[in-house]
Amino acid sequence: MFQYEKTLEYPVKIARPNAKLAKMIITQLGGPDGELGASMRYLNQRYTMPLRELQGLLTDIGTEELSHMEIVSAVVYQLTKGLTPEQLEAQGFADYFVDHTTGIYPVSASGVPFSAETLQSTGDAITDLSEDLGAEQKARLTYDNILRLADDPDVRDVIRFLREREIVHFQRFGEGLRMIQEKLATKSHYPNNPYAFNTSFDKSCFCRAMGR
Amino acid sequence: MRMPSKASFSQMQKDELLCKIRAAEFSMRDLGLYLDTHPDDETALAHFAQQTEEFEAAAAIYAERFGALRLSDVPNSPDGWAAWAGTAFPWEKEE
Repeated sequence: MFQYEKTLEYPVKIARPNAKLAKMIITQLGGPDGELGASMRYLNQRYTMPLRELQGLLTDIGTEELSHMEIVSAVVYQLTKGLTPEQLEAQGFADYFVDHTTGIYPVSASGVPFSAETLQSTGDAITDLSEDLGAEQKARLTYDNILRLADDPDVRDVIRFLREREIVHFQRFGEGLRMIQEKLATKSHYPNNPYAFNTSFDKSCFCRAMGR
Repeated sequence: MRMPSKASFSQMQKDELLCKIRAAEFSMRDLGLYLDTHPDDETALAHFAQQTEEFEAAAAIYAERFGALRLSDVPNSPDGWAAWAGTAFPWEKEE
């Protein structure tokens, strides 16, 4: 179960509203490599992950991504707060404003609503963990692109924190993937081919390989 | 030297405590990810224990002085519940 804690993982205090910037940053809420997709990817993948340690890792990283979703939303909320319709329009926010006023809605920077088609849960451990490594790099790259465009120091500070977390998650997933590959390599009937069976679905093969 | 007013002093204390809580909790989260796949790293275990202690201590003081951050800290009274729902959410600048 999840329990809410009434504080952000990293504080957000933005002095100057800037709707143009908000429109770019919202992509990390609802875009193809955003935090909503990240949390849904990991929290859905964990059920069929064959090693308990990896179920734990997906749970903990997926939970942290929910906190990041809240941080990104707080940035967008503060960047669009207190602006008049005229200011919002002048800052390129009119199309979003027409549909959502200044409500927080998960879309990409180009306005495409969030889609579960941006993520996978395949029920195959090696496939899922490989996707997770790619996902962390894509999110890191998106934060890099935001840092190329954003000059507000209050915003940059938060984005840098989020960017660093992608790198840490990439590292942890890399260790997770190595962990399952090493177990398969030492104990499998197919020591040089960890792809010979689906480690999640073909349980009898996996249990035999793990000596269970 | 001008002394800060009572209100601003308590806001300062509140900010400091929140900062401590966030720092300790962040360390716990980061160490936790590492410990998920390295459960026998003694240095990480010791750090985790220390950060947990700091988090719990700061969170208890915060709950007593400024209100609950978690459901389990909500004082079970009309005032307690009104404060849990009625204090600013963390996406507001004036958290």
